[in-house]
Amino acid sequence: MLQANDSYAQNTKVSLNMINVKLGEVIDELETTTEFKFFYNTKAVDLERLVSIKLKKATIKEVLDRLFSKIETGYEIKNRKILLFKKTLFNTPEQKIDKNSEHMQQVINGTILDENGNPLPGANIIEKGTTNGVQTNFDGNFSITVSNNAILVISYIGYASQEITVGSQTNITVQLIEDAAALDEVVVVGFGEQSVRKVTAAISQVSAEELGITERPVTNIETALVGSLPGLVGFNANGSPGENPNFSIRGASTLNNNNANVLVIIDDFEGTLADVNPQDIETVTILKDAAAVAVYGARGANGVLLVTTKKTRRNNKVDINYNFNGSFQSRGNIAETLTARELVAFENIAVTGDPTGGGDPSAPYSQTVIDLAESGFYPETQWPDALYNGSAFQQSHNFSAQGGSEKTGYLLSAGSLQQNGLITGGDNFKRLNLRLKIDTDITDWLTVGTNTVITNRIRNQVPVSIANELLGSPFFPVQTVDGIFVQKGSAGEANPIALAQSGSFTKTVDDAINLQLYAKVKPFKNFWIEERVSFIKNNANIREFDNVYDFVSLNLEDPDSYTNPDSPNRGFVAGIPDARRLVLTSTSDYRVTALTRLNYNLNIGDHNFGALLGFQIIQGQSEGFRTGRQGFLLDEPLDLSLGQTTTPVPLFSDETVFDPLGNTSFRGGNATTLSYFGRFNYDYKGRYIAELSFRYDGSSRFLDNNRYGFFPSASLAWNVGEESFISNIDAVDRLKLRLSYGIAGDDSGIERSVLQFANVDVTGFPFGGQIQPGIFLGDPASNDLTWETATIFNAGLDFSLWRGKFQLSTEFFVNNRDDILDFAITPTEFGFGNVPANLYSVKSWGWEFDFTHRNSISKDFSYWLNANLAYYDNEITDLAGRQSPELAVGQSINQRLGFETDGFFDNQAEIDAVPIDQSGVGGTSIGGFKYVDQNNDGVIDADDRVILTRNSDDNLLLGFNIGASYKSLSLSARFYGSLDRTQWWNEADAHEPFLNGTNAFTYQTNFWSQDNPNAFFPIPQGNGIQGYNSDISGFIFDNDFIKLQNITLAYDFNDDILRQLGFLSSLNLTLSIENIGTIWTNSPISDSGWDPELGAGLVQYPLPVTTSIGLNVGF
Amino acid sequence: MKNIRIILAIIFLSILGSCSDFLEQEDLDELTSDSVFRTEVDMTFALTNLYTYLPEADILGEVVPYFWTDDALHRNINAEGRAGSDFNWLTIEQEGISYVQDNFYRYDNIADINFFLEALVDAEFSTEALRERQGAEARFIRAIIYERMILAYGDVPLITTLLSPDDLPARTPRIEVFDWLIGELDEIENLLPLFYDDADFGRITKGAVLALKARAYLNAIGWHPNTASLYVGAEQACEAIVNDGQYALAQGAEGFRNQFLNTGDNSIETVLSNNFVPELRTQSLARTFAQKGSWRGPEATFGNNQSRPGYTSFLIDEWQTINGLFPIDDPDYDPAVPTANRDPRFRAAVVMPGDSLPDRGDPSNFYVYEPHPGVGTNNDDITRPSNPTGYSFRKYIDYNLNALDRGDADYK
Repeated sequence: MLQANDSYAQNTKVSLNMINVKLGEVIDELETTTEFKFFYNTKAVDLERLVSIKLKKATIKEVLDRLFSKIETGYEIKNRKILLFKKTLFNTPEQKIDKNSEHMQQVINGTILDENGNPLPGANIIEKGTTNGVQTNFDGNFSITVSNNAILVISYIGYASQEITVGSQTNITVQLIEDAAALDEVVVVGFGEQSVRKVTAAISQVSAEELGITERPVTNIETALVGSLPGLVGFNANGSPGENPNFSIRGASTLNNNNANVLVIIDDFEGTLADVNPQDIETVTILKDAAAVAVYGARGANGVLLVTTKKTRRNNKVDINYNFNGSFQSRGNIAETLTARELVAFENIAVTGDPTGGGDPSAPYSQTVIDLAESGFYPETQWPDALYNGSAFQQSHNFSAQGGSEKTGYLLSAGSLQQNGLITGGDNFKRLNLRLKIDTDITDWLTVGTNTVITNRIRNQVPVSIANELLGSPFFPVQTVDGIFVQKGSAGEANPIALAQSGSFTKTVDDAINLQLYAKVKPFKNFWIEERVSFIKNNANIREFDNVYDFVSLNLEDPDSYTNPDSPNRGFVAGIPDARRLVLTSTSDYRVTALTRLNYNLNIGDHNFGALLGFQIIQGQSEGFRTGRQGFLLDEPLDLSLGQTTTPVPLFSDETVFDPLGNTSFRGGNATTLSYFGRFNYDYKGRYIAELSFRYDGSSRFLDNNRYGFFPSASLAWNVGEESFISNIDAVDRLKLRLSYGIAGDDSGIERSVLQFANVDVTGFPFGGQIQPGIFLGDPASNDLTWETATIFNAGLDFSLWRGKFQLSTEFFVNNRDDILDFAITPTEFGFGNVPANLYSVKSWGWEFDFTHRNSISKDFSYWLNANLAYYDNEITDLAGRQSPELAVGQSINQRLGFETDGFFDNQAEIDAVPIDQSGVGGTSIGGFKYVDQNNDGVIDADDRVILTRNSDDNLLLGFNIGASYKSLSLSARFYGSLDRTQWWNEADAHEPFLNGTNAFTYQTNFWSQDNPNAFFPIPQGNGIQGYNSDISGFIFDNDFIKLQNITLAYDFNDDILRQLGFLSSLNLTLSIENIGTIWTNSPISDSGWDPELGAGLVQYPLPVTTSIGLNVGF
Repeated sequence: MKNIRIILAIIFLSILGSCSDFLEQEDLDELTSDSVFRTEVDMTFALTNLYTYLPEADILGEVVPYFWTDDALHRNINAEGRAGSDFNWLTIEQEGISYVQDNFYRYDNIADINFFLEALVDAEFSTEALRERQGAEARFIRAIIYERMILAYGDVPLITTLLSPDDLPARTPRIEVFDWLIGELDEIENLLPLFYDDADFGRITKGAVLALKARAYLNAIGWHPNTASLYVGAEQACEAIVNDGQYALAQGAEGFRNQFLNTGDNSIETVLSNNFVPELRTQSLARTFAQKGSWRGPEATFGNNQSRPGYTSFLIDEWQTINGLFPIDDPDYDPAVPTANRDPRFRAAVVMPGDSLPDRGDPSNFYVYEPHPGVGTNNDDITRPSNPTGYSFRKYIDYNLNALDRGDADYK
């Protein structure tokens, strides 16, 4: 029955040497070592039958003939599927022969499908209460003759059985649903993998497929991850090409700003997410509680993000895949500024109280200007709009080949991305990734392999003006008609468009090589040792060029100066070549990590033991130099040597300090760590699970007294759902309780604070006119520094109903962070300054929900919903006696301190009613802020400040995605949002309308008047800096939002079409739109162009709306 | 299976072998303190650094005492909000506001000097004389800091040894600090030479010690119980300077003017200076004093000259005339032309309204400095962020600098 065209079956050679084993084991072996998948009914095939088989390089047919020649089991091979059936019962799977039945009155034809609508071969259809039964063929079809009113029981391994009352139907289609409890899905954990059923820790995982990485035009994995995992906290910061969002895991938990970094592990080793091609990724996992992160010890306290890349595919000829994604990026709304007419009226009100100026001689604009504004003469330049006026192209190409023989597997992947930016002036980002994975069995107990990646990233940036630097006057054009840039309004400030287009740039080239080699030894059953070495080398080269440009200043009272190059009211300022400046920076570093793992599993009856022991050492080094020159005569900085003089360059240690000699360098990064870790698990029947894990970490950052830290954790899980009293309830297929407790650490921020350094200043002091170097003591050291620790308690509940139709996972945690690093205040008279010390404690807590609903309505139509919701909070529990209004025990890490305001003074009577001295916060006036005198002393001063917002972080976070598929078409949408976000306009950029005297944002004109008593702002007082204190409750506004992150429509061409094309194995087309924008927000200023995700006041680089067409072809 | 055992053994040995000193790492680009402060060269460099603690050429440094008198004002003192950018006479801490009173409270410098003096004892030196001289130089710098401190604050803790971070020293009565100071100066007076050779020019001399002693005596008038002894002490110290014959007055008005420009560096009138050289060690007094409307220098990277301090009319009205009289007593004085017939040092010290200055946009153009509101350019308008009186500081303004914040004149 072997079909002639079945090349895999013909080409695959199998070697077996099994004596007196159960048939089931042979099938297992075949399924492990080959791509073949067996389909059978356990009633039809006796898996317990003992067989012996010894074959070398045999075809599958030879194997099957040997196994089944003398018994009543038949087989059929199609592609990689092998169907087993009982010969006596069925001659062929489609025909039913049952001579016992008396009442064969009805022939039922049908199809059995899986959840995704694919046919299920080998499913069993039995007439209830009889032995009458058939199996489906390869197309999932069956035909059975049954008696009247029969009930069909349809079953398939791994799927929940269904009973169908036939009635008068003659043609039925049944879709089986995967039985979640029976599925043994695997998740990635620290240094290994675990079955979902046996996980005791708080872990969330998402696959590249679930994220839609292949279809979406995301340029980096971080962007794709926003909102996708409960516990991963972070939003986009801005849309500059090459910019990635920053994450924390489970929100803020420490006062130490150095320490918020999540540990990123890529294929077992610490790495950089920016270097990973998103298309190489298989899964992303976050480890959240102590049980999950304890094996990362001193680096685990901030949570761990694990990235696992796609694997090689053995016994597979080759799968070649090409993916193209071409996108068009456009800009959404952007901050609006005032028109000439609006600005004139606004400033007139600010200065004279009258929108027309009222003839006041101090009115800021002359009648000429007012008339010109009314006449529409001015260009009405919207500078933010002019800077980001572009649309931009983005494309990616990805090619991969996966395959392998019986003993060797390989994966080759190449990806290229190019993203242009929206800013006028030409910024862009390019990335190239190459990855090669090979693994091979040298003997039956030794496997070696490599995982090698080369990444090249090039980021070209032009100067980006934000906030008031970007605000320009509506009176002036960006360029004159004769093409010269125009001063944007205020003298001495750059024209942001000229700046972007001037030829100034920062070009950053990052090259990374990551070479991994490993050897895995299996000396005896259930035991393996693996030695893995990773070598990572990074090089970065940065060229920063500041160019100059010519510009003119126009006279807004003289229209002639706008067009006449010789106008006396036109001032021309030529760029000074001497100010052209080129700074080159080059850094390189390497890191070698050696990782040894020993793994042992033991099963005694229902008792299962597992042990993992590991050892890891890390060492590395980094260095870099920087040099610069200025005085370039050309617009193009061809070479540093064309600069005529030196230019001061920033130091590596502190970029705000400049080296006057024009060059500097650093060397460091040679800290070493040496760690032992382990994990031991035990379970009884997979029902009661206990796990202990630990890490013993040594770091050269500490002195002998605190060199090693020990980080243990313990966790328990109980699969309640498998207890008999619940397993009888059909609806429940999983109910699991989890508890964990343990300690993780953090050593970042320590750097070299344990050592007292002496600093050398080569420009010390001159004697006899000659500079002599100086030596002085550096910042004071502390010998006693130790690791910050996080003691985390976590409780979790996993719930699955109706065979996975509804799944819910919830977590609750409390994290006590201790020994938080800061500086102990010393008396000024001590003289050497504050000493670093482990001082504070913070408690943080929160909960997470992850909910999934999947359903199939019919063979063709199914839909799903996945949603996650998380909430976090924190409280400072110890401040080592340091207490201030800004920072106190009981407050949260990020609170807001300021004055409470009670709206505005609406009339004089209101002012007279409560005589409170507001002179310290900007005075008292009608239409001015009314401050609350908290201590009733009649004066508003610093003592009246209160905590305005207990916790200003985004702590209630939402992410969800929905989707549906109909036949070959699928449509999905992803959303994320924050439900307790607020914005505080206390920064000048947000609330000062005349910060640089050129223009204001439209929302800043929403000031108090009799008709507008609930305005944002008080009546402006003059067209300069407003005098009131801005740390006020009146400037806190809602900013919750929900964004539509992505919509993807995909069409998968079916086999028929592909067969006609001949050479393709798969083909799909996608239309995907990324960053579609805000679908709901309560921010009061989103209408005037402010993205609630990016905040008010600073006009950040907008997030591009990316519309892409994708093509994915498999060969 | 034999192979496996070998592999296991290798892995195991590599684990053990790497443990011993793997976690001992030296810093690659910094010196640890115990590796320096040991030799004569180290100590010479360490001493060089102490010289940077000499009175500062900065508005926050030695200019501040002018504002304690009725001679001068600063536009930003006690100003609130964003304009209050320089300093405030505050006693209560407020976020973001620095209070200038701290600027003379220099225990960070004292700690470094005490550390130096303790390290000096055990350091290797080729000659004991050099060790003594270096100690004396350091002690002088410590003394001048204490002299400024008791002038500014009265009682201050007298700390001459290294403290631990837990010590909470009490204030020492002003007179005890004063007596200690005079004792120090007496001791080091003869450990220091009258002059140095060219390579060491600019170090502390005996003359500097005597001059500080004289100043200390004079500054103590007003609080010291025995005023007469102060005059005697000051006179003796000054007499010793004169008798040593090292110094003389610079010649003429031009000589005086040059004292505050780089052309006056190393002048015969200079007893002690905080030294500056182009590019490598510069001071920004010129930018601090110069008028907003005036030239900033061809390489200026800052937006504006600052012109924040201003003399009061008390000082202007009392500056003596060329006849050695107060203007009010001198019949030759014409209030309509207040700059005429004054002591020539007046013109070297004050920028007056009506003076001609190189223009902000082009130094070859001169404009008339006019601080009156509504007259002239509003850059210099006293009602705008500029000096509050219109009588500006002139010393150290040098329009020939590449940028006015990169002055290289020694500060005297």
